[in-house]
Amino acid sequence: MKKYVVLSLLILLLSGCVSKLSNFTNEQKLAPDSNMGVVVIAYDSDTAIHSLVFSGPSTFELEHNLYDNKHNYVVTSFPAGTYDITKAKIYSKYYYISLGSDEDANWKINIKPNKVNYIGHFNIDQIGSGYKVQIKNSTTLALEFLQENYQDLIKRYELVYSKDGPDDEFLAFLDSLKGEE
Amino acid sequence: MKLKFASLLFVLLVTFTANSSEFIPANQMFVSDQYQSFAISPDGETLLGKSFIDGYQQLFAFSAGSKQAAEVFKITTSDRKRILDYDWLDKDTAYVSFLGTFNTYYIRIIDFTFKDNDFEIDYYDVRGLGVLVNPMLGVEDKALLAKLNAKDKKLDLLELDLSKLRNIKHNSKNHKKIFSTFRNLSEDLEDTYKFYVSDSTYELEMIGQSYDDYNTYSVYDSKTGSWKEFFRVNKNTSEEKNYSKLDVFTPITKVDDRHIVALSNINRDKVAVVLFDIEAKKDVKTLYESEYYDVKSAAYSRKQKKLISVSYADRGLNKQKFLDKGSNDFQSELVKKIGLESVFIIDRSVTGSDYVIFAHDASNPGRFYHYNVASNKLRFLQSSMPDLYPYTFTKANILTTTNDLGNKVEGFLYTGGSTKKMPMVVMPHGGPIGVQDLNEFDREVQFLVNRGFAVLTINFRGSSGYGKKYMSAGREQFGKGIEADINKLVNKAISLTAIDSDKVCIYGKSYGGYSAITSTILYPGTYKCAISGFGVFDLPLLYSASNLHHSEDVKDAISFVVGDIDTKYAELKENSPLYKANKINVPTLLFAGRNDEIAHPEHSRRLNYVLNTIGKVDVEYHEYLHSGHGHPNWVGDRHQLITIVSFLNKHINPGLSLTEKNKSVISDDYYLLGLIYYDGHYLKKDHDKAEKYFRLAHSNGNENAAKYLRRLGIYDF
Repeated sequence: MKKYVVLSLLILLLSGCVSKLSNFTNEQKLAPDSNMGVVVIAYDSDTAIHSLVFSGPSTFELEHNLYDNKHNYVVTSFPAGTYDITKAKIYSKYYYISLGSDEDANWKINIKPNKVNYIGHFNIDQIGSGYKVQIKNSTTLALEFLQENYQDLIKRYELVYSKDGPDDEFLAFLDSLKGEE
Repeated sequence: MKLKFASLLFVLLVTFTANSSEFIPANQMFVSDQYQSFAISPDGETLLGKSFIDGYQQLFAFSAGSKQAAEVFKITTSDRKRILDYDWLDKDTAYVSFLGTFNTYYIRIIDFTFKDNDFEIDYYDVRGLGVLVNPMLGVEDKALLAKLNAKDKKLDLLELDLSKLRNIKHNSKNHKKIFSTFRNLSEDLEDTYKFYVSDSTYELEMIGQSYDDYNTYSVYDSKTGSWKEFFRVNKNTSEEKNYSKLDVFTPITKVDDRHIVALSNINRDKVAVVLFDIEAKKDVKTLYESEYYDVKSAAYSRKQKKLISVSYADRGLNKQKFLDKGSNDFQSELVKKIGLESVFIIDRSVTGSDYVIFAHDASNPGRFYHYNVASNKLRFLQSSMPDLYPYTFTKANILTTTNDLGNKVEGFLYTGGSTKKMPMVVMPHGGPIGVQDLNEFDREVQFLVNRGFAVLTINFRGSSGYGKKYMSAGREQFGKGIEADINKLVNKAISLTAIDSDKVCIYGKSYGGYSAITSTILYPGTYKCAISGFGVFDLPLLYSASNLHHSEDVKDAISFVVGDIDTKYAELKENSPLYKANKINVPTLLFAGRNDEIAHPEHSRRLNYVLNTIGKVDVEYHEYLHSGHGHPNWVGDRHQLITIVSFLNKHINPGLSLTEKNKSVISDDYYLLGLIYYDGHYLKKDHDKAEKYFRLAHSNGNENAAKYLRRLGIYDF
């Protein structure tokens, strides 16, 4: 009973400051303001993911309903800046796994303005009664997805890998290959 | 419970003549060992065997000398269910630890009642995860079992009293009640993962403990009544490291109040058997050390106060070496009788009257024997893979070279005794640190040899088994010294008359995949094609493949082998074949597992994408939907190896003239590939590939393929 009360309180507190984002389809011309970055994330999990909460310059909740779309990607936009993925809500808005950066896992992302910021494939594996949560770098899958579904978008904006951590120069390398063609 | 007896399959190996040119179907080669182990009862009268046939793990028992065995335990291997351990507790009681339904662990106690040449069994199951530590053969109805205490999250070392468990109503409540009366030898010990028990007093005398930041070994000091730690190794990267990651220290037994016997390479190069002084905390005497190889295991007799045997991989072959002349002569006699190079005594009766022997080498996956000392009779029990008996397999020739560091590099060349020049597949192993290729039966190697390809495996610098310096020499040698070692031995192999130097490809898994692709860049002209399974091609990506790789522990583990990302980013990139893909000039075949957490499939996806973008060479990519860093079952291996053989035939064809029987085997292989693409479970459903392989299967005589072609709506075949 107590747990229920705590959860309700959390939801009330969050609802005051969390902006919900929506998924853009290819039919819409995604043209964010100059201080915004286009954000691309894939949900890659057998466990139903309701949403992710990003905390940074603002707090955003990124909902995703796999059944409404023909793919598992979310394409949206954020104000540029550094965010931490702080919660993964699973099954419904009432259950979540606490995340946040610590010495074992880095949940930071750096959204750059006027770029298509791929931040990773968000993955939850249920192991026994617990969960292994990680965000994988599957840049090639994201690139192929965007080339197929958001051609116009990646023509107008440079695609970059925006997960915080060691540099990944793969996309820059692909650009250099274009120069050689 | 009265048992039905069935004839044992003991009389094989006599009627068939082997034909070395007969192809082995992939679905016969890529299967688990059917017979996995045997254990003899303390009195030497009864044998227990473990088999894995048709999806069931089974234990069967038979009287020594009998030709009939009865099943005493059986479990399907679906849903992770399996046998974890089994052994005799005394002459008429055995135990089985297994994972049963609903992911629940059980311990089954099986009581045997012997009558004439027959027996009956009675059994009961106790819930819990337990492993036998010592059967206490000198005490009736007692045994020491390490049992997981789920509540306190620790292992309890319990002294079972089986007499208390008989003649009760078997249910959880009663079991719990009776188990609570058993003496717990490790009641006050936490985080203990290893128990060492005296064979004479059955008291706990040495323990291994694992904590968050360090591991320890301690001995029990009977004078003070407390545990005395004598060895500690720090795990935490933030603390000062007292030992290298390559150091080995494994206690074998306590000798007296001051000494233990251990396997150790601390302050020495090779892993040796040492007498370790627990007060001085250092080894004081070397009991056995090989000049060339690391010792892998040893047996020491406290009663005789001497080392009985050691084992190590001698020129790639794991061997048990006895240190007294009598036993050594006996073993040589067994080697001669059995005709296989490696002979291990894997179990013996308490009286020493009977042995269970396992013999194997590169040409044979293994055979089990029962030996009776009094009669000097050696009786064949079973082959580990009896279905392979019609086929012959090949032993390796040892090739060696000396690298630029002055180290001897060993390799194993399998040619299958062909009289004409053979195309060759070079197979660098994974790792690269701490892994060793052996000159023992290997399904992939033998399958490729069977299909007409010579195979070369190489223990390049970094491989285990040759000492710490050799292993350490492989660190941060991606694209450098390791590939130089491989190249040197490859050059030696292709200078041999048996090898067609114009037909050489390179295939490896994990690090071997990296090495295969990199070698084609570093040594252009040597290879006609390259194959990688679960490979890494973008070294900085090792650090950014997942956010979990950003932790200091993971970074530390990767940098130990590959090099530090913070200080050596440019070097890592420079040694990544992905960023030099324009120098890859040979057809390339890539395999990856979607769930691979070691070599993330992104490595292979990137290389596939870049090679396709450059468009200079043919590239073929297969991503298994349910595989990790390897396959969860044999179907993946079958697909992978059939695809590899097909790819190799395209680029370095051995030019074999095919018999009708071999055509039939090939048609079955293609049929299997057709089914995999048709079904879409292991790989993405692919109508075109399914059609292609069903057509190939049908044209080679497989009639079942026609049925599936029609299901695909295809009638012109």
